[in-house]
This record gives sequence, structure tokens and C-alpha cells, in this order.
Amino acid sequence: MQGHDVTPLIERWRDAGLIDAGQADSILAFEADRPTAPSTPRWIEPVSYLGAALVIVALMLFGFEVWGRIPGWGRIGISYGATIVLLVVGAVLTAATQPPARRGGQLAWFLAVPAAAASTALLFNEYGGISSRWEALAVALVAAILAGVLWATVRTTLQQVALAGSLVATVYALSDPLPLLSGWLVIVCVVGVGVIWLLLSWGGLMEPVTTGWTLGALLVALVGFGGDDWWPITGVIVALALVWLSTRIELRSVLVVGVLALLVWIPTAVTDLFSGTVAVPIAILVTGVVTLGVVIAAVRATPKDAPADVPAVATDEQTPDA
Amino acid sequence: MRDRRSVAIVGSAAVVGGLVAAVLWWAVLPTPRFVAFVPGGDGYIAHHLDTADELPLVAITALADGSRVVIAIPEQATMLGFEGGRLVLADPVMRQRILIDPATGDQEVEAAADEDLWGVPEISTHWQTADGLVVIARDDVDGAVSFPAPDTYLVSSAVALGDDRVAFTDPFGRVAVGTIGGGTPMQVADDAPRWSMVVATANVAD
Repeated sequence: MQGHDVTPLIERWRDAGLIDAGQADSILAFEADRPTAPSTPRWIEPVSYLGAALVIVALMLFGFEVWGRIPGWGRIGISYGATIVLLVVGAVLTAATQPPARRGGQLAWFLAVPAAAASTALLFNEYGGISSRWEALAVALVAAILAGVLWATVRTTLQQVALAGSLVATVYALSDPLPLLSGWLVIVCVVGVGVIWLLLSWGGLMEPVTTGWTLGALLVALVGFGGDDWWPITGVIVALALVWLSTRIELRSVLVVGVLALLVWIPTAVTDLFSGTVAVPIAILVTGVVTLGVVIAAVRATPKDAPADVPAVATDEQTPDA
Repeated sequence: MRDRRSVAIVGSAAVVGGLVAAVLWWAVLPTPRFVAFVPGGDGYIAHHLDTADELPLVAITALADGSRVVIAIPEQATMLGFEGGRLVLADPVMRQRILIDPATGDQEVEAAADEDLWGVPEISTHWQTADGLVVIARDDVDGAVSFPAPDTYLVSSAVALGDDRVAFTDPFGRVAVGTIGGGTPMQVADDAPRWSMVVATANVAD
């Protein structure tokens, strides 16, 4: 509740007779006297990111100019050095008390994952060491392990996104040593990662849970990419399941993923089933009907006993990141 | 809540186990497996294999350890199917059946009975129309038959596979298969990009 004005609520409860005037005054006085952490001006955070972005772009432009003249060990040193700087900066900032600083630390750790992967790829490129068929998998595993450690340390949205992304990259990298792992089987594995994400979010283990639900929904919605024929139809079924799930867990982000998946997979499935010029109007018609059906179902699933004039108290659906 | 966590952990472990089993079943255990059967003699593939003269037709298998076996096949041979895990080809010119072990590339040749050679289509020529139809002419078909080609698919070579199927390749090494007379639209194989990768790998291995 910190940072939100509770006065309208207290006054509403007092007017309804739930609390007397004395209690209302006591609560308001208590909230007014509660010490709050000193806050930094809001402009500092975006301006800080802007400055950091400019510095990074300038360093990259400078790097492009001289990169070809730097020996291999120098390139690797620079790359791993940047990774270590990101890790150290992230460690310092995530331990800070100010939320903007902590968010900056989370971003630094998020960037450290692709930086570590790129450094490892550069290492293999310069010095080899393992069979080329295993290089992509090794790079992806380095990213996944680092992302996992960082997420276990600070369970925030950015760290979870890095972990999910690196695991999906690992699945794709498996097709190098296993050439027969491709096409629909890769998609099945990616969807499997999504199912695990949903399960762990349901169990409260994939923190932040809201991010976990959303990422899991995104990954399972990719099932339609498995191929032609019945894969897009499976995508439609999964999308409808996500819409249903969103009403059960009351999470708008999962609803958005489900609806977007419907808008992608319904036309694909319909155009697969109907050939020729009739496919387009049928696809549009079915998409529209299903969209209307989803809206009606969502409205019917919305609790009707919630009064519309309740004073709004902003609540964050997302588990606090910091 | 603790029960829910336990169920989530057990469920996730079950999904991981299922995925590992699926990968083992589909991508590791059922090998060796033919992953490409590419006609040569013209086009990108033969050029990059650098075997246009010596390997007019090439079959490639993938082994469990990820290695490849590249097998030279007579240009006139067509694929009949598999027998006992071996690829069976028919050579109508030499009137032979060729049995190939996909794990080693070893070939065994035996005399072909007439029924082995009947119905093996030979493609006289092929071309592609402006609206994307692939047209082939066969010696056993009265006139030409055509296939609707996938978008952006430019046929560079065609080869009969037996069973009234015809395989086409494009200049990028993608392989598509169509069925003669069935009216089946030609579909680019889902894993066609991998096939072209395999061809490239085979080139390196050679």
C-alpha cells in the first residue's frame, strides 16, 4: 500500500459505518506519520538509462573501428571483461536500498547473460577447443547456467526472462549435435519448457509468478509453429485454453497472449483447411466469431458483485520485483 | 500450498522426462536414418558436393553419433523403399536391385526381377511454369503431369522415388516430394533446411 492514498477508502468505510470517526482519524494519522523512504526524483532513472545507453553505443562504435586490429586474446579479454563489469555492477546495484538502483542492477545482470554467451562464442571462434557441432550448445548452456544462478539470486522479471530465453536457445542449439532434432520436435521441446513454466508458476515456484504465467503462456502458444496440417489447429486449442486459464487465475497478460495466439492461429488453420479465395473470408469470419465469443465468455466470467464505485487502489498484479 | 509445490515439481520432472524420452526416441535412437536423397548432375547440390561427375545421385544418412555417410548411387536408380533396415533401389538399366546399409554405406547388388522394375518411373524432363506449376514428363505417363509448387520454390532437379512419388530440389538444396496422379500438392519437407545443412556437412566431411 505504500505510495497509495488510502484516504478515499477510509472515508468510504467511515461513511458506511464500518469504522467510527475516531478510528478513521487514527488510521489516517498513523498512515500520515509512517516514515517513508526518501525518494529520488523520477527523472533520474530514465536519464541514467539514457546516459548509459549513449556510453555503450559510443563504446560499440569505437569498438567496431578497432575490433579488427585487436588480437584474439584481446577481443576475448574485452568481451569477458564487459561481462564481469556487468556482473559486478549488477551485484552492487541489486544490493542497494533504492528501487531504481535495484532495477538498474537487474538490467545489468540481464545484459550479462547474452554478454557471457557472446564471450564464450568468441572464445570458441578464436581458439576452438570443442567440436563445432557442440559449440552452440555449449554457448547456450553457459547462458542458461548463468541466467539460472542470477535468477536464483534475485528472482525478478528480467532474470526470469533471461533464464527462459537461454533455455529456449539451448533447445534450438541441441539440433547441431542432434540433426534429427528439428522441425516439430524442437517446437514440442519449446512448448515443454512453457508447460514447465506454467506448472512452476502454478506451484508458486517460478517467481515472479505473474511473469512465469506470462512466459509460460507465450511459449506454449508457439505450438502452432510445429508445422502444417493439425499444428495450427492445436495452436487454436492451446490459445482457447490460455483464455480459459486467464479467467481462472485472473491475469490479463495471459488473456492477451491467448487472444493474440487466436488471432494468429485461427487464420492459419482456416487457410490450411480451405483453399482458394474462399479461405480469406472464412478465416476473417471465424476469427471474428471466436473473438466475440472470447469477449462474451470473459465478460460472463467476470464477477458481477463488485461495485463499480469502489475507490480505486492501485494494485500491482506483478509480484514485486525488488 | 506445499502440496501444490510438490505437484508442480513432480509434474515438471515428468515433462522433462517426457521430452528427454521424445528426443531419444525421435532424434537419437532410431538411427541410422536416411535424411536426404538428393539428385545430382546439376544445380547447387552437385556443385557444392563437387561430385557432379562421380556422384550423380547421393543418399546421405545420419548416424547416432552425428556423423554422416554419403553414398553414391547410379544416376538411373530409383528408390523402392526399405527392406530390413536397408535402402532398396532399382536400377532399370542394369536390371539390378541395390541394397544399401545406411550405417556403413555398404552396397549389395542382386539381379532384379521384372516386377521390381515395373512401374519405376523415369523422368524424361521437367520444367516449371510461370504460375508455379512443376511439370514433369515420364516415360510411363501419357503426357505430362504437374504439381503446384510451394511458394518461392524453384525446381532445379527432379528424381523419381518410386511409389509414384517424385522428389524435387531447389537451388538451395531444399527437397520437396509430390505424388503423381494423387493430386497431392507438393509440400516442402518440414525439416528441409536441415537437409540442406546435412548436404553442406557432408561436403565438409568429404
